Amino acid sequence: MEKDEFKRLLKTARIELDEADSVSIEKDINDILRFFDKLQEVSLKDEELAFHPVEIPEKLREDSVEEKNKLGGVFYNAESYRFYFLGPKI
Amino acid sequence: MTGRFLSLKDKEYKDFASRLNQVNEKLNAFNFIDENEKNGKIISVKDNICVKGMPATASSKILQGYVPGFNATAIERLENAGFSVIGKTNMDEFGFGSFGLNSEHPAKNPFNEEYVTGGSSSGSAVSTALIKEHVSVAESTGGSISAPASFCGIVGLTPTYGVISRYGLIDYASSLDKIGFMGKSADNIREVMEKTVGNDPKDTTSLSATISNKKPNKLYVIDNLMAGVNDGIKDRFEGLLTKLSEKDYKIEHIKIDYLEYSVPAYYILSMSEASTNLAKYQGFKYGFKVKDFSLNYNEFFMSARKQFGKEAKRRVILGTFIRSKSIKQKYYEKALAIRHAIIARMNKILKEGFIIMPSMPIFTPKISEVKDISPVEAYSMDMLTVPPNLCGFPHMSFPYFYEKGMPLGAQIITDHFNDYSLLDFLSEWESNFKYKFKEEIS
Repeated sequence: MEKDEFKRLLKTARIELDEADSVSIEKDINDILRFFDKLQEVSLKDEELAFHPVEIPEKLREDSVEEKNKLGGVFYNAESYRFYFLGPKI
Repeated sequence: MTGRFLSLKDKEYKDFASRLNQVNEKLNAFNFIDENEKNGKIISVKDNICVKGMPATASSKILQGYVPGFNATAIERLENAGFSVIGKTNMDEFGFGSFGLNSEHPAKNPFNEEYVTGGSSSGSAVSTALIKEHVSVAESTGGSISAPASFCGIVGLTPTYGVISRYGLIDYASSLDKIGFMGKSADNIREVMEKTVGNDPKDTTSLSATISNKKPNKLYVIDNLMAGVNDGIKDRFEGLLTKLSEKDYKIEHIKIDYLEYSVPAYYILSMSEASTNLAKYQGFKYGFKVKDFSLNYNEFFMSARKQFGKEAKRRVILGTFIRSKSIKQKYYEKALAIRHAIIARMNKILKEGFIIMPSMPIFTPKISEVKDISPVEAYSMDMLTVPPNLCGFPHMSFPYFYEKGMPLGAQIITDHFNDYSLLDFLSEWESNFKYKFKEEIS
């Protein structure tokens, strides 16, 4: 991965690194990607994709009103003001 | 069979908690010990599983101050069955580690403090080793129960994916995370397992399957996995196979295709899922709060994420990269195909017998020997624990030998939903093997 691509990636991932961590993590990431490239040795183009390790049956529930997300629970740990979350500007 | 657990009431518990605090200052097994009186059979819980009213940090600074107002389903079921939680155990941050070192105050091995505990359920392993008749509720994504169980000389059971609800578990990788148990006897582990399994409407991936105990008399050794194992470990493991063959187990050596790709496939999937799961820590909803609302959203979010440790940052960055549209097919989809190919092959074998192997490819290392190894070297140490975890097969690490005072563990794997056969195997093993537990607090 080129330096510019790594910088773009940090922005996408919203991770800020100091200079020392940036150098070492960039090197680690290139090493790990080379390690991942081992998968390119096999084709497996007709193999199914296992999104879960076991089959998860589709579960349906009655289309009825449920009492969920009680205000006390929703704001239990959050910064809030009069039943609104306090958060950053978007 | 019913398990035997330590039950402490009123002042007895206060004295116990005081002794536990003293030992904890030295070994860092717990992130939090509850001083309040307990009534019931005591258990401890890994710090990424929510217990109402107790801090849940997953050993991350970004969750400092987070106190859940609810119980994880597994904990709710255990409390209803008469169990009482004494505290939250140390771990690698969010489960990101094989040695227990990705924590601000890493837990120390109870057999020798210079050695690692294994991770990520490091504190659960230490508390289980130390406390009399104890079970700790832990969690495994890629080997977080087997690795520390092996290095700390206890038993670690990782159930089939989905048989225990993940509701209330602080996610690392949702298609891989499994709540499981660490203990010192088959009866104890069986009791907590029986109380926790079953469908949960709060977790759509939880299953209501019947769990069987079909115990085969055939043990498969996978030669292409054993190729990467330390020679000394191979030698001790051969001794174990000899013992088991004397107990009428038939040993067969086989090769399973694609297993050599399981570790990169596992890390690709787990990092992809972790990078999305960790996006919820934004600095205003859980735990650490940024509080500077003059920052714009991106600045605010980046400021919060400075709290992640180095391994967490590494995994979020890589997971974000792997999920990008142009790369997804090369890594993510290939890893899903590898997982499917391995499940099909292991499934066929596990219909006929157990798979057995050492739990870890090396002897327990000293902290000084692994604290500076590269990420790729560290990930490669998971070569034996990753295959059953990647594929959701139930597996169990149990102590089978002591090398210069340090325990060695072997790992046995069975077919999906045949979890209780592992405990039947363990019951048989316990009747012929004398465990050595370093120290017991009662």
